[in-house]
Amino acid sequence: MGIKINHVFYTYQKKATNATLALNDVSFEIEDNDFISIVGETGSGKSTLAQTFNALIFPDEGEVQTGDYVISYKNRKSRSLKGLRKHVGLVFQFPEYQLFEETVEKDVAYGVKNFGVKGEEALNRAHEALKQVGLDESYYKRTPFDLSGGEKRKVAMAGILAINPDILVFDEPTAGFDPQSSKELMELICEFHKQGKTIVIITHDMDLVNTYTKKVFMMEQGKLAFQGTPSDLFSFIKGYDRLDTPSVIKVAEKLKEKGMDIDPTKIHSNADLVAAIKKWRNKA
Amino acid sequence: MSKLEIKHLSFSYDGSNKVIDDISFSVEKGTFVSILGHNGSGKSTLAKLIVGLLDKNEGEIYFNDVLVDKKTIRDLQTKTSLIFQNPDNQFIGSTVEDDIAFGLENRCFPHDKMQEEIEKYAASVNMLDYLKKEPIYLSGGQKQRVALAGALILKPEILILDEATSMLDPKGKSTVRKVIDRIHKENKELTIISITHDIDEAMLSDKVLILSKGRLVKEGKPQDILRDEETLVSIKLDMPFVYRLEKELKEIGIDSKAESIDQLVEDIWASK
Amino acid sequence: MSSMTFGRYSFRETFIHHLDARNKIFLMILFMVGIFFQFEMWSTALIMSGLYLLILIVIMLISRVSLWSLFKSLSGLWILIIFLMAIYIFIPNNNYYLPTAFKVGSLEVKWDAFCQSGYIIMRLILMISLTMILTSTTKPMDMTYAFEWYMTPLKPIRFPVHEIAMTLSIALRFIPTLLDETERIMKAQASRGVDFNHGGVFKRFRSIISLIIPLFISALERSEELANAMIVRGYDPKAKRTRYRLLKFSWRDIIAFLFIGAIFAGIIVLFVFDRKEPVDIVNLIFGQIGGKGF
Repeated sequence: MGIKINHVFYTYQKKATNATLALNDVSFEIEDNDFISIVGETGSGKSTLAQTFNALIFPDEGEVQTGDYVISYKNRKSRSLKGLRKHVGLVFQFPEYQLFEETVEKDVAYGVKNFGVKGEEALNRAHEALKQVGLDESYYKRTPFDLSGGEKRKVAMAGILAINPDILVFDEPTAGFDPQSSKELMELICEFHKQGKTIVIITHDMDLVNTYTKKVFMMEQGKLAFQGTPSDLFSFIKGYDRLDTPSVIKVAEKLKEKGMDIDPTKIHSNADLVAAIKKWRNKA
Repeated sequence: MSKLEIKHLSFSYDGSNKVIDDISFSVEKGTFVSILGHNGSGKSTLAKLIVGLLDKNEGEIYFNDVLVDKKTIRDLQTKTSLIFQNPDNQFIGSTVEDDIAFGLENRCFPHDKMQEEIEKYAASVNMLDYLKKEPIYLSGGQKQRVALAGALILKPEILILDEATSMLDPKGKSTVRKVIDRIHKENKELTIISITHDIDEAMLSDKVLILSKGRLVKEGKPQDILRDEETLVSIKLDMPFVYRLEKELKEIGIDSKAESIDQLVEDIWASK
Repeated sequence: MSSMTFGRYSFRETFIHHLDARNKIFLMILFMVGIFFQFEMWSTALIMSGLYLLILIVIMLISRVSLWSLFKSLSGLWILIIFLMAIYIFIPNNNYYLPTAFKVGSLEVKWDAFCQSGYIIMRLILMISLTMILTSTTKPMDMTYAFEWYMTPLKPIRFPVHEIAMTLSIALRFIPTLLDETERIMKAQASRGVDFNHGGVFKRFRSIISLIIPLFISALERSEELANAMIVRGYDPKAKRTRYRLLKFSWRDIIAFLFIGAIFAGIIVLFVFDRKEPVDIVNLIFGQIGGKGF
């Protein structure tokens, strides 16, 4: 399943004098089984945009289309949108704050039950989701509030996974995590992608964008400022202090400035850079 | 004379699992020390133990060579400031100026000199233009800078940062980091202890301590410690980017001991 | 941020914003008490109400609190208006002064019913508006300081005046933060298929639980961290403190005090005469143009 975003406008506090245009004529398309990222500063509208994907907010103008569902102002009270959230799962920033049941398995099964799956089957789905995020049977009966921060986040993610959506949207999935935990989490998300899910990551971590995603969209002051590959983005944002270029690309750019025959847009990892330097030295 | 000396410190919340397990180290006056550890390594507990927000089970703490006990802890507390992780939960006043004033009020600072003092410290964290702002109109980075002003205005001898930048976006992180770096350079008397899992932040410091599962596993200069990939990986941390790239370059015969990207670029270019 | 409501403090450079919070609270209460004096004659009551409204509008204009946002926030009152009217229309009452408005079958509806309910609503609107002007021109912190000042006489009997004032000011500071948090958790639960708007009693109860528990846990966490932050910055509720923000009585306060004081005195004088013999302002001012009643 993909998402089509068509000329979407959205304003917070519409009637207030200081109303701000959070989304200003945004259009783009996310294809089925894409692995994309949406980047931008805090307040650029990227999180607002993500909330239109599962109809948490409705655009004032324009529409967002996923499968048969059309999210627009006209449809804001439509009952037909009820099933939408089964297909689009949104994992919020710091999702550990949404846990509330007395055991881990119950909490994970809660979402599944909301979509009409009953007792035993819901628990089975919960167990399966917990296994996917790497939490074994010993966790099932524990209370979620005693877990560590990282484990809580995994439980919260399992709560969305168990619903088995086709599209998974993650808002800053690695916020506050140490590098190793971040890496594990991103590898998990890659695993979901391999299973055929469409993945959308909202982040301001450029290393994450460079390493994992193939397509990137950049929001700025409510507008779509850029779409393309991560390497094109980095040349687009060069000399622009709002977003950080990944260090490996900075090195490549500096070497190029010195006169080295190197293409920074082809560099995605340290290994790429080392290979390019090796080639250049062999030539020299 | 060391500013702060920790000897055989242990602590557990429930009496059996030791969150802090027999830790000893000392911090010299005016140095910037980073305590590195992964999520759940006991870092934040350590900070709370030092300032007495938690009661230690075993061990001793010496502050200015005086043993900290029930009588002397007030002295340590009035000379130590602590910045916490969550920007929202340490903003006490209803506006920026009220929040910076909070500590001064507690110290019975004379009212007629407050305004001047507040403006001076707000300026030192680049927040002078926001004095009348309420916290909901500030970004995380701005709130943390206000917290820094509110801490520094009490003229502490030790400043402890408990993951002060981990909840911020990259822009907020870099503005806060710049302020911390400047404070360290300008104020030679101030001892800074930064508790973090951010390797790049640790590179700014004079000394690094590595904490894993409540134990101190390594200490030394960042240039040495942060090149020790084996130790870092064993406690779920990565080497800083520059060092990681250096290691990979070594395999194709480029030997560099650079500390920054610019230096590294020079070394690569010179290897032609 | 999405839950900005009228009555929230916003800073502007006006006469009223600069008034001492203690004075503002006192004058507001004085004015409210004045509003509640009843007069015999409808004409007098009507003219006095007009005067109050005029004063309110003047205060609003000076404080630059938007009239439009005020009336919008009062729009919910129409249910109350209908309710009051219904009471006055259907519950018979012996003191009718005014002629019949219309008849429905055997039920005779007097103009009194409309006047009575209108009068009450008017006073209610005046009170709400005054309170909102107070809260939107006074910093929450100043309000708690004023509260503390008024409660000082209770200190000798060990009433925890300072502690209550501090708690109050922190509560005020955290309201917007907790509202944001509520919205975030609601959205997160909605993403898990929770429907806060539909469903039976049991389902709704479950939905609310899924909101309340996380909110409660996060509030507890916040309060613990906040307490730590306060201790670290040397807060001790028992110890002496100085104040950054001092409440100062200035020339503005004297003017405001004289203005509202004069009005209150006028109301009292009128009321005293009214008790002796109903005063008809219309007659007083315009000679014999109007008669008794209208």
